[in-house]
Amino acid sequence: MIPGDPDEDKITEILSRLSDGKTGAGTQLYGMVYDQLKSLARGRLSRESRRNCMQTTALVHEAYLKLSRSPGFENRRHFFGAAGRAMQRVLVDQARRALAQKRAGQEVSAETVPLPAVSGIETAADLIDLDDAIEALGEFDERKAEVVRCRVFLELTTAETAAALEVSTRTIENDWKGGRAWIRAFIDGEAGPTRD
Amino acid sequence: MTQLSLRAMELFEQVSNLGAAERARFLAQHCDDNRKLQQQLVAMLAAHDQNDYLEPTSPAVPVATDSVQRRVGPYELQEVIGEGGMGVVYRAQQTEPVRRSVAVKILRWGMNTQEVLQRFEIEYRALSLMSHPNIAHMYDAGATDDGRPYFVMEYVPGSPVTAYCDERRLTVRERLELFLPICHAVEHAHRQGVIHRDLKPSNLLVTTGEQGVPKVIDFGVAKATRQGLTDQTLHTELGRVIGTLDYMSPEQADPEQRVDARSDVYSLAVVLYELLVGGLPVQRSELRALGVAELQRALQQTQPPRPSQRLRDEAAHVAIAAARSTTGPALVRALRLDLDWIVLKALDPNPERRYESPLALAADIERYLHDEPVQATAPALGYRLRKWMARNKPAVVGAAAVSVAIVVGILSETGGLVAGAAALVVLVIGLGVTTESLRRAQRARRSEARQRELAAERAREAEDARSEASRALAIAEERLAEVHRLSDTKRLTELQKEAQELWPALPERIAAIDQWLQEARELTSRLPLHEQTLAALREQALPFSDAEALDDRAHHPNREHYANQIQIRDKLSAEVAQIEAELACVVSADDPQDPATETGPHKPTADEQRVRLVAATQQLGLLHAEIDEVAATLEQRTRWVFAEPHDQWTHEVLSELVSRLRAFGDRDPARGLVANVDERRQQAATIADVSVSADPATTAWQEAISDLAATHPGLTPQLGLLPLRRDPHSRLWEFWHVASGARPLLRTTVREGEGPWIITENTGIVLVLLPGGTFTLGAQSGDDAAAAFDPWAAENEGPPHQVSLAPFFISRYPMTQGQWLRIAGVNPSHSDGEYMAGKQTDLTYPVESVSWDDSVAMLQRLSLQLPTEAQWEYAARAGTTSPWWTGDSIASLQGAANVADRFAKYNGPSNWVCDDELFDGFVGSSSVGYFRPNAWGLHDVLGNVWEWCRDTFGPYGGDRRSDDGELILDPGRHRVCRGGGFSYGAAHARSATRNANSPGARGAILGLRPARPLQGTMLPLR
Repeated sequence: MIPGDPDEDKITEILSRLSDGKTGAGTQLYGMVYDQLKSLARGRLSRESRRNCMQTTALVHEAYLKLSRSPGFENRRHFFGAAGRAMQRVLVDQARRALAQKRAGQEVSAETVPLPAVSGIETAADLIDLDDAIEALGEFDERKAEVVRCRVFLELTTAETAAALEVSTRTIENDWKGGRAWIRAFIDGEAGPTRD
Repeated sequence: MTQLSLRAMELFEQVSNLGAAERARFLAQHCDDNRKLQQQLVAMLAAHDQNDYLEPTSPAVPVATDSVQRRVGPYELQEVIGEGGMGVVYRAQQTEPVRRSVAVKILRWGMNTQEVLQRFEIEYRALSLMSHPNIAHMYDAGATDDGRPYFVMEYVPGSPVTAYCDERRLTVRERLELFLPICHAVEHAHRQGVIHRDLKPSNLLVTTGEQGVPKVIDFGVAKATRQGLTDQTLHTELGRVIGTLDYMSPEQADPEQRVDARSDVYSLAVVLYELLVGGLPVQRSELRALGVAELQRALQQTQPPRPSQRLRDEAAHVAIAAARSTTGPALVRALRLDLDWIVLKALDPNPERRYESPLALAADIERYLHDEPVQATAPALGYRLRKWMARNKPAVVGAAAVSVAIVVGILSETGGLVAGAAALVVLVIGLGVTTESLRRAQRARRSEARQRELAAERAREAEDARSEASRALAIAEERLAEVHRLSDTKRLTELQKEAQELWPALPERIAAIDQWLQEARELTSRLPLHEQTLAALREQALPFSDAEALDDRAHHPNREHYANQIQIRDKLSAEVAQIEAELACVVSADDPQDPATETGPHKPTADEQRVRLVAATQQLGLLHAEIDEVAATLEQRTRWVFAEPHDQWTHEVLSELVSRLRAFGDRDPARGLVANVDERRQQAATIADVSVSADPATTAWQEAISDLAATHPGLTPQLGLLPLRRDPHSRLWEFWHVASGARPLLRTTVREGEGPWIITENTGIVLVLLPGGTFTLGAQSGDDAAAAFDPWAAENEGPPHQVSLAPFFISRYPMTQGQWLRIAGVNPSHSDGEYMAGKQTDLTYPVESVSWDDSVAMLQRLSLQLPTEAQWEYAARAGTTSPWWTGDSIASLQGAANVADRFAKYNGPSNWVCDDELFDGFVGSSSVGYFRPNAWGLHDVLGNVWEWCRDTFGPYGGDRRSDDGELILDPGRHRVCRGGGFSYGAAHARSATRNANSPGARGAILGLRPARPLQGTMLPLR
């Protein structure tokens, strides 16, 4: 917020660009959050059981901290947008790898595939379906996709999501209801490109 | 696909809340002819109704509805009774050693369990000592099997105090009566040394039984889980802190400050406020985005409205009053005076002025309830007076020595009348001594005549008396002189202050200026007198030993100044040599660039080099003279010591006065205020002639007015501005702001009248007259098909909306350091004379490190203004609608803006985030006009330094002034700045990017661009 000392204020810079990962403009910066989360996650995943391996909130907090040390840091919305995407990527990448290993005939213990702690996501395949659906949703309604990411991958409550994305709780609730229903319909083959 | 899904989503929002029958009707009505749409909607509704997809099942958080009850230590978890930011609260059964209902709060992940428990341990002893009917007991704390901290406390079946009161429509009196035991409970805890730190309605429960009993819960939790608010915790706790933020005291936002009992008093007061008027004293949601330091400042500076006022402003006051079983006017009456004062005293941002304890707050409430006079009073006169003094401190104290300041202070405080009386008393004493002595001398002379026999003796006597008389006379004179000195010191300070008001230099101010000059000259005319007295006094000084003399010279105050001057001289000489060398090269290469192709940053041409050379040489000459002057003073003695303390004091006052008066009367307008004001008078007297009423100004205006007749009918000559030309590129007229500096010169290598301006350190402000018009202000990133789409746009840049503006002038360049220096006499810029990545800045760089307040005061002197935010964006866009005036891509900014680029990446601080695709060759700021202008001829609107705008920062959507688009907001703290800067990437240097800062903030990347309304009657066209 403060265009004061030029040495002090960089992070809003990163974050403003993070706001738009899909056009590719912020890829490099989105990558920073992603790397941050991935390296944090890797440390956790290797030594902790699935039961609490994600500690998503803690992970995101840690990443947030690292990125927010700059005093000029203020743009939480951009951060959460990016963090949601990054967390999604971290998890989906793990899931895809696990599936690939499985296809290659290696034994994959369920314990090693971290999954978001939400109902309906029991296997790596579920997660990959969800990933596709969120991306499809983001194609026409990025904010709803963002809301779903915050709720599912960052484990934020509706109120927290509202605070994170700087939108009213009511809006978030509507987005969540609509986004989730659409995703379900998409995965069931009732919405989106498969039937159009 | 997208169309279909969008439509489905839209319909879903309407249909999902309907009942089954209505849904069927709705679907039939809205998608009978579109099976796919209906199919999709039906699938979505089915998923919605099942409501079992993607719901949190966090295996780590035991769900109490599970058929298997989970245990935590000896506690059987039953149902979830609350879910807050910090964790989940369960009702649970304790099985051993006793069987009872308890509340178990299990914290979320993300806290250091060990640390939390350690901190709790420290507090636990104190907590266990607390025994109060209105405090929920804290029983235990521990860690769950998976390692999260939990707290066990008394189970309180109840609701938050605010909800409880509203549900039961409690009256104000009933609410206060319920609030009192809460105060007493908190007081009890304080006496055990426990501060709550997180008092808020959800921690103040009222049992739902027949007789509601308030209970304060969660004592010790805040302390254990949070070590005060730091940037870290603020961010660590993310949204979680937000709930608490509303009730947090200002000092809790300050990691440096100790939190004590009064912090809880503040939080209690917020709750009380809410109980009384149904809303929070300060809406803090907008503060969330601030860092801790900013947040704290904001909290400390915000004065909440009085509860009664707040209620009056509240649209829903009827409902609020109804919830208190009364009517709006009656509620306002109930709150006015006593309750207003009580609440405001408890809410004072300064803990020193709050009630010292919850008990004191409770006592005042009780006084109110018993119709006794309360302790709290309206913000006292004394308080306002202190505020006033704090505000005026610099003017009051000034740069004067302490002793002088004290005397002046006394004089100015007691006022002119008393000062005059004091002078009289001194005079009378002096004269009294004199007449008495004179009479005695006369008597002596008479006796000498009559009694010649005693002549010798009498003569001696007479001699004594005479010398006594003359000594007395001398004392009286000295006293008189002292009074003069003191009043002169005071007068000088007054005149210096008055001179600040003598702006802008316009004809109507001439009379005031003349008055000032007359008084100032009267004052300076006494300088020789003071100098004589000072010289005479110095004769009386104790002798100086050689060692002392040497020491005195070594510590001469001018020594450092001298060294600096020498350094600057060397730098300047080197520069002159360099320019000469470069000029020689250019001449020999004989290859002048074609500056007409304004596609990239240009290298200085030979012309510009020559202008710079002349300026540098001139400066060097002046510097040499100055150095000689300073060198001469280095031999002068600076310290004198006197035997008499009174002499010492007089010497201090006098030498201070003499040196101040000398500076005051210095002939150089940059140093001497008299000369400066005299110059101002010249300007005021001639500005009309120079800019409007005499040739060549008259001719220039005639030409401009006739040329502008089509677009600006009714244009009249603008006092202080002189038409320069119609810019052949932008087709807009440009004007010289006469008072701000020298007339700008055109580069002569280009065809007559077509070249860009040469900006030197002396050049004045060039204003461009922009046409009025309507444009779209702001941008949005939500919908790439809609208007004003900008993928980089932040939430606060929207919604995009139409703003209409009258024609106005705006500077072609950011204000330069030279322009600021010329008027203010100082250059506040951070980059002043510094090198950045091998580049030396000069006065053609934008002025920075100027606050909004500084900028407004400066522009007022020049009859200029800051542009409004709308004017700024209108000017920056110059008719474009893309993110940058250069286009849609970052790359398009190449050669058009100084931002954090590839050069800065390699030469600047390592932690800057730079745009690789851009190269501008600067790390810090750059000389104004170095980069190519936008379609309206404006340089550096994007990048270089952020530019202050006039408006208070706030969300779009409020009222705007009709002529210049200024956003009308309640007096807010922050002011808008625009355009990005050298240490920010291109994403920040967009036309719509908004930034804000407190009006007192100064930064090396924060400057300004002057603007000015068009005077006289004229309507916007288009």
